Amino acid sequence: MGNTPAKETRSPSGSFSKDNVASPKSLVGLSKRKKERDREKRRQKEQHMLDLIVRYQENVDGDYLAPYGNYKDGLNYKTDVVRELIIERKLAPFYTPLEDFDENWTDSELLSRLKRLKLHAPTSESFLDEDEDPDDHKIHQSASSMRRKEHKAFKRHLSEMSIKFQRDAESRFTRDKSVSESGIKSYPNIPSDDLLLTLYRNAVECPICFLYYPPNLNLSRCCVQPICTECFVQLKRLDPHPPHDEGAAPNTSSDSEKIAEELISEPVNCPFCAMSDFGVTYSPPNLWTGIGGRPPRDFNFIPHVIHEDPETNQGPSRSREYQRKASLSYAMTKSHSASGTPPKKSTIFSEYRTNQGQKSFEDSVSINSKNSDNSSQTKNVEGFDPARRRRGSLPATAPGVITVDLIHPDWEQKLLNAKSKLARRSAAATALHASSLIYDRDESQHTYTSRLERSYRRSDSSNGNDHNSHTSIEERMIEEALKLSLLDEEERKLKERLKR
Amino acid sequence: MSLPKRIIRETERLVSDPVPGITAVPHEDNLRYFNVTIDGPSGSPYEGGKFKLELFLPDDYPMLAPKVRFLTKIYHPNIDRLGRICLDVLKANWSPALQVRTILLSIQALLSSPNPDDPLANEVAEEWKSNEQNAIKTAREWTERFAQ
Amino acid sequence: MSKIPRNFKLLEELEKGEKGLGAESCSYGLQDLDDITMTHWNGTILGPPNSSHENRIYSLTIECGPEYPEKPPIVRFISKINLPCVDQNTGLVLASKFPTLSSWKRTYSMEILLLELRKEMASGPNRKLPQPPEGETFQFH
Repeated sequence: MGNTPAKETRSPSGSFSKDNVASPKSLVGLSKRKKERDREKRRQKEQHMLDLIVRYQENVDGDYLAPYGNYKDGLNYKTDVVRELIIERKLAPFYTPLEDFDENWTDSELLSRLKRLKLHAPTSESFLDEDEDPDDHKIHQSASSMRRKEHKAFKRHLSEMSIKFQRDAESRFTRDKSVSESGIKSYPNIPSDDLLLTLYRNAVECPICFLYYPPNLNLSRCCVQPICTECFVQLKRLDPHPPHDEGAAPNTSSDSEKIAEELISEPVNCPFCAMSDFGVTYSPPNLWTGIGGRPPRDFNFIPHVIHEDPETNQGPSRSREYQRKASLSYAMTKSHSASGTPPKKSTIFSEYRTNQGQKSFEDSVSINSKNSDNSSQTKNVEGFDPARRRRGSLPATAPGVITVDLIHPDWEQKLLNAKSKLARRSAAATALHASSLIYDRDESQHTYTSRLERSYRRSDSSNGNDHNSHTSIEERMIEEALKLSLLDEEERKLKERLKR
Repeated sequence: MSLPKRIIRETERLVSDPVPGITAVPHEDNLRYFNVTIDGPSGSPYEGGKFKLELFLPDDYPMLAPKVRFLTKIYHPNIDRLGRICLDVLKANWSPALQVRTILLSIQALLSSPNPDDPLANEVAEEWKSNEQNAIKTAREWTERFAQ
Repeated sequence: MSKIPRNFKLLEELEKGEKGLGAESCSYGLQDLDDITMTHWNGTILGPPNSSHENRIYSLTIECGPEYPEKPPIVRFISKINLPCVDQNTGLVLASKFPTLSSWKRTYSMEILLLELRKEMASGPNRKLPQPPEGETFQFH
């Protein structure tokens, strides 16, 4: 992701603009600076949308960098961080789920199901339906409600684009797959049958979504339970709330300042054992296909390491030839990484020896040709050795542990925003005593937020430039809430006066 | 929108392997919406009663908890007059690893062990704390009147 | 979006009303907190400024039938009001003259209904309609 030049253009702190007091109509006119900022936010949201498209060319160890689409919503995790973690093999790729799985399926039965898998769940336009915004039904539309409308329109536009892009990616996958199968041409990123079987032979059910995935799912750091990446990215902190919140009415009286300070945001508990600060670890299989490894097309069960001529690598019938050779055992092939650089061959081989060991190598000798109906033939697939499975629990800070907060780093900003929103609400109420004017708090609000953002960015050097996409919505939300509370407060006062 | 596999499977399991004393049947026209009955646990003032509830699985389920409400009037410190339930696993302590089945079991357990220190129905909780025998008597009467 | 059942939608609306999260110019609540069917509601609308309704508070009843929100609720003014969409004998809000009811959507809510009625009071031709003395109520409800 690119840098965010708009950062520098943010208004300096302290300059509570002269626009503070303005007629509601002038709220519509956005300053140039604000327009730039809006454009930047939109660009980031577009990037986020693009990151969520599943493209078959972007694969790691047989699966993808974007979610299949089991969840239509709640995809506001940091896509760039997650993509990076998958590429680095620190988090399981987004596996395409199988709805059902039967370990008695023969290889050909399993394979025919795997070959029908789509990149993404069917996208329906119907989920574009949105909730009605009561503000649209008020006599005077506030500037914030107009902006909210604009924002909605943009969101709808993004959804439509994403549906279109996903369809394109899907038809490309289908086309390349069928061309590969017909043998006319082969595509390096269309997975070989061997790779599909290796991945899914011993599929396991994710305990959250009840779908079936390759067995090396992420494991909870605390209780070593499996969880698929798609469910993992859904987990996030609850919105900031008062301690012991049982849904009490939000307090609009003067002590809301105190309540604001008490707002808390707690790390997500493990869904399985309720341990605080949930995180997972992932042990990659020794497949090393896709980004940073060899082409998924070239994965094969083969008797020995084959030193192949790079020139023949592109040959259409290559994988078929290999399949014929495949019989007694598996080994890693020499490969070419997707990026064109040589793979880390030594690492792969040393891992293979240490982790697989002689025993599993010998076990696999008994395995017959892949066309046999013996469904257990791939039981000892490389990389899925259960002995490698971690047994003990790990602290959240242990290397290799990916916590929920790591992929949802916006919680801190959310907490600050919620606190300032509450505090300002009470301040606004006080201010209204002195004046019956309607305030435009827009500029001051932005100034405040950007100051917070800057200090937050300083404390987070690794992903400094990515907060904007998350804070933008937050910013708008505060603005809106503030303005609404100001207007509402006005009316409430009026009402009170009337009652007397 | 098609129904997520998880909901389909949970529904199948609820039917094929029902929990004793609990039924949950989805509405034909809305498979996320269940008619539920819970038998009053033995040894509780609700014993002998059959309580009707409704349960809805929102779009965000299982990331968000199911919504559950009693349709039968019940005298209980953690259930209000509209049948709303105060139960931690339906709120802050919800976990996506929990299921409809486990939630209904928790509600059944709540009937066995009311918690007047974390009330939703204040008058009932007061009565429960100041005159537990009387509260239990009222709960038993309501069970006979409304939950048969 | 999957369809939220009537009762859970009404519970959401109730909570929004109870917590005061909605617009301040209108309010609504259950008539009887023992009404487990959540059918009968009270509503109030604060008369819009710069109109003959200014400074008035109008009371209404709202009846959400078993088919709510597929079908709109039945709305009746208790406070007397002179408005084309309100039957002058009964206080009933007439769907034929009030598009929010005639083109009802299941995503609408009681809050939206009240806000739209308020908008109706402030709309051009209605804004300056002469109003009956404050405090009068419709006889039939």
